[in-house]
Amino acid sequence: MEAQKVDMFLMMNAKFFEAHQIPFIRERMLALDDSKYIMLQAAGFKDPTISLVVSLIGGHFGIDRFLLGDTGLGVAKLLTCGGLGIWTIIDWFMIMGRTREVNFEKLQQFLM
Amino acid sequence: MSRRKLYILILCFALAGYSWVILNHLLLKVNNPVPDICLFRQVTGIPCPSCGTTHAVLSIVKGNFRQAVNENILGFPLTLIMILFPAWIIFDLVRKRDSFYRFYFLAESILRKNWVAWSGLAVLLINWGWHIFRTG
Repeated sequence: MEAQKVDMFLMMNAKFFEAHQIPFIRERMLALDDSKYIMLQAAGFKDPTISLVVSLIGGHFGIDRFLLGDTGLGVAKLLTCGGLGIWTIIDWFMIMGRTREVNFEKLQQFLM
Repeated sequence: MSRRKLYILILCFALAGYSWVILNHLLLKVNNPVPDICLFRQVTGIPCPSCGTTHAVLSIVKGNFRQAVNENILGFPLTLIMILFPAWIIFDLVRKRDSFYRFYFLAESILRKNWVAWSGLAVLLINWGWHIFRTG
């Protein structure tokens, strides 16, 4: 893939990933076929800021975990009053990192 | 999520759950007020869908199933989970198998199916509405 396209993709989507993952993503994208660019653009990554807002509002019911596809943990959070209220608060700080992790896992399906 | 991470997480949850239930049991035994840890109830004054499950679990352990139904029906699946999951994980760790790990992801994929998710939500909302209505 052309370096210009890769840089443009990273410029637009850098917020969806951890900073330390960017060099790896760039390297793998450069080695990728051009036809995959459209698929990458349409992948639909989850915004960490939206996850944080959802976590602040609906974290007590596990909605943030359901949103990220962690259904099991979502049910656990829902059944335990947000993990006795403690897990809800922990997730306010953890959920953005987890969202980036989920995005990276999704991206890896295209990069491999 | 790796098998090791999932097993540690669930064992920690189980430990926290058992500690919480025992703490509540001891506090209730000496007629001490149980701490209210529900953020939702403290903010809105309305009980959340899982409020009352600790009391329900304690009632189930004592054999008062009717009282448990009145406190919160969700106490039944939670008691089952609290007994079954740690035992299953310990069995897996002893036998060096990953049956619980495979079950967890199978259960997640079933729960993600539209009709299962919507039915679960409906049951939860009905239970919540009934709970709010009953507690006034």
